[in-house]
Amino acid sequence: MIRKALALAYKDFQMEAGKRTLFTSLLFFSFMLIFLASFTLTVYPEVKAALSGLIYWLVLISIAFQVLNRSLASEEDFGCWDALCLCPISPRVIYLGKFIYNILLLIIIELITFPAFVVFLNLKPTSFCMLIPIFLASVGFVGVGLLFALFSLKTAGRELAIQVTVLPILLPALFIGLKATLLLAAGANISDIWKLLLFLVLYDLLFITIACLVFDTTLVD
Amino acid sequence: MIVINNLGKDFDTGFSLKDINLVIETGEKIKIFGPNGAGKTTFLRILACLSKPSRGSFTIFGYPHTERIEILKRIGLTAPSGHFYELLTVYQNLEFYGKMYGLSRQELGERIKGLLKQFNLSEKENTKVNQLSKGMKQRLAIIKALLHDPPILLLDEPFSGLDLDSANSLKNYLNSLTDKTIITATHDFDWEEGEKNRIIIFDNGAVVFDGVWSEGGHSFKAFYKKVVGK
Repeated sequence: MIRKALALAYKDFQMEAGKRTLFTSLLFFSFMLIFLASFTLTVYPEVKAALSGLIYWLVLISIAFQVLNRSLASEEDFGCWDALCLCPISPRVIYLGKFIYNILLLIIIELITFPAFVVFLNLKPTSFCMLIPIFLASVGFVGVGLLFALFSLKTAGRELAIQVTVLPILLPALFIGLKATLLLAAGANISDIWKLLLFLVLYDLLFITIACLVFDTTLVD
Repeated sequence: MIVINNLGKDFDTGFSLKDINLVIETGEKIKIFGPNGAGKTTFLRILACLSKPSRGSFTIFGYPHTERIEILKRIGLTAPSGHFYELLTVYQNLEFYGKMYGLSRQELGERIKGLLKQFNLSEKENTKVNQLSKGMKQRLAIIKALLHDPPILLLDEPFSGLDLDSANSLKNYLNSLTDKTIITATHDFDWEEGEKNRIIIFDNGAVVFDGVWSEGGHSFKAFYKKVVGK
């Protein structure tokens, strides 16, 4: 199962390497948002501490939704969804493969853009601790989002459908993750926010388990 | 062996596949004819577990249609859309699907090379699929269906886009696969004189003819028009 899931994730990376449209557009969008935010905060430096965490969350949410929108739709657009469903594999292999690809893509983009965020907003090096709640939230985002991407696969306006349907499920992780990030930006230590991080870990485990169990490609007919 | 009992499928559009009952023996070569929208592709998609029946059931080598993975191991399907990742090369596409079928790296390499040679696509191994002609994609679709050496082949319009030589070559190859059950859906009257294969004609979601057609002084086209009333 893992071998086939890795093969699926590898295939998605091969495809992205061939066109690089999603990767470059996500990077461009992220850098643009960070640059504009840094410009705004030089005019209003008094709100920098309060808003810096929020700004990166806006980046995260935007790129996460773009990644999710393309996650399964890329198969459908190439007419390959049927071919994937023709393979004698459990739907969980597809879920796991897509999860591995999407979370790695998201983390790579975060690792590239976050240092720029720290530099442009002139944050302390300790700000890198913010990556912990951001990574944990990203895992939940992709884990839950893939399930809703499946449900929206054959619907008209699927990109909007994913965002509207998945948002209520993501809200707890969004609020807790944002709160953890804001506290870290305000000078808190990891030990001060361990309960919030634990919530994010439990959220990820719970919803990824549910999504993995419910993900059934035969539902899409 | 495929056993189909009262198989039906309803769509929101009002079209329905109506209570199909068929027994298809191992090694049979069957051609399914019918006008566009008659239900040929729907029938093949249900057999390939890509679409769930609304009623009825079928078994493939004794496995009920609910045993999706066991059935898929025994089926190869080609579809007009091709099912290929256009930005990947021919080899990358086949390698990916081979891995999904659980073939080992060595087995996969040998099988891909052999099939590419068989279908005259060896030179295109490292060519991206979006640079192939329609006929080449059609041959590649057959290769993909044969990759895991399934005992049953479901071919949906396999000759569309092929020139005469390629089509004849493919027909000869398919005829040489004596141990495989091959079900070919087409709306072309590519009937060859002297052919004694079983044919099934669909019209408006129902099987309107199932048997071996003998010429009896009439062309197959005339016979077909008489059966479907068009």
